[in-house]
Amino acid sequence: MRNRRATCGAAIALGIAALLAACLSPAPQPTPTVATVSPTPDRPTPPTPSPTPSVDPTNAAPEAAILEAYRSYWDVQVKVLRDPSSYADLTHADWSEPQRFAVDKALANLVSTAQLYAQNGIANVGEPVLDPHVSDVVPGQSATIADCVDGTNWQPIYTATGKSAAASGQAPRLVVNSTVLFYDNRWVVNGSVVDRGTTC
Amino acid sequence: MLRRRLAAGVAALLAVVWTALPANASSNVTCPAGQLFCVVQVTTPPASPAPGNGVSQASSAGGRVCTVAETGQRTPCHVDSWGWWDDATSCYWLLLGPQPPDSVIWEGHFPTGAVYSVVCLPFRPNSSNGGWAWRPAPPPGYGGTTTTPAQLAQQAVDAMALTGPQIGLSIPADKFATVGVPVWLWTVATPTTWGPNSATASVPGLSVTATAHARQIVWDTGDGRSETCANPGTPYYTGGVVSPTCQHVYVRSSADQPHEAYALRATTTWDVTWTGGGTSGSLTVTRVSTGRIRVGEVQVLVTAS
Repeated sequence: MRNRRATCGAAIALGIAALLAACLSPAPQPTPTVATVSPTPDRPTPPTPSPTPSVDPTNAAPEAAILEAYRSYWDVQVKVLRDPSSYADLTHADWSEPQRFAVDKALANLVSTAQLYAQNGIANVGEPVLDPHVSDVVPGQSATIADCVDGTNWQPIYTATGKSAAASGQAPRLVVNSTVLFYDNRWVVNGSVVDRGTTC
Repeated sequence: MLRRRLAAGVAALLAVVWTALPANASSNVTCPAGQLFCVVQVTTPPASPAPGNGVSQASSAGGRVCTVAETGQRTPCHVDSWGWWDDATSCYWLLLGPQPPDSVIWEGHFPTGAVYSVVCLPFRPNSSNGGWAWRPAPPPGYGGTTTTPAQLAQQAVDAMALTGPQIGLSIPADKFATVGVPVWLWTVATPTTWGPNSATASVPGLSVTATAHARQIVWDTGDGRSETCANPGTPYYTGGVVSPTCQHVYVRSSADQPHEAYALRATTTWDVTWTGGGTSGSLTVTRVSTGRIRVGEVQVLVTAS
């Protein structure tokens, strides 16, 4: 959240309207567009003339939308793992929110982690601190995110005793490499791999 | 006295500690994919449910029952947000809507087949918990089915074309059996007359395999009696008198019977077991064959010399 505000602040400072729009209301489009958009013949109303080339806000500043989606993915992870027993029963639990931000392996891994936690009476307390960096952006398609996730204040505990459920000797700050996809008109996290060998 | 009390207290404390230990004693470290921390598991997977309990319920209902094979726990065959359960993979499968554009996820097949969102149970520490996966066709059970396993089992039984005995008698049809002399009874043993026999019936998403074994043949010999043989009988061989397995001894001639023959009615009882769609069951079917046998009395001609 801190980084997004900083980015938005920078956007306001620079006066880039498109970027600001992306920060405030990410209205993603289904397909990547080129910088200059020509109206399609069957469109009933002519496009509003614009002094600058019309640009899809999602593609103009995909990094902002990507980071928004990525942070939402972490927010929802925090939410699920704070109360995993509420999510373990797939029949009755409401997974619609996690499904908005996580797909593919990212979703499957979160589901199974919730199951594991619930079976073992484990929950995460606190929140992680993120430091994500977006790269390899292909507008409207995919991107990668390298993050240094600090879990010092986001630890697994046994809810019955409040004692740590983390195996001993683990570094609290690790590199996490994620991939995001532009799928179903939005950016979603489809994979997230913790590099347990790389502290940061 | 004090020392004894202390000792008792320590012993009691140790007992408390000891009872708390087994949970940790069986613990192991698991590293959930995507999570920063490996955690120490304190529980063992749930034990399998009492055998037979679920199966009997399933058999009576005949509907599809879904089970997480590893734990034996029941799971719904369909969940709106996760799709349909597939026993083979132990995962829920949901057709992605919209389908993703061509990428490695299609494994080079785009646009044939489809990509599904897969979520597997239970937690698998060292393998995939699911994700997107391409399939040429929906996995078994996908989309549900209005056909029940029990109905498919009946179809499988029909497909086996089980019959009654292919009746064999030690007396040729154009000859008379003799009162007091054993008549051997048998069937030519084939998969359709004695078994074992097996067949599979399926509809998209559901497949049931049935296996049939003949239990017995009841030979209604037409003279008001019957023979029950838990075997196919023994084909007659020249010189044989008493059948080693299945026979009947007539005590009266068939002269007063219609067509001067006893009506034979041989009923084979088949035990059928079936399995599929996450459930199993059994049923019994019978098949009948008929025939005739003429029985005469030996006429002893005594001539005076």
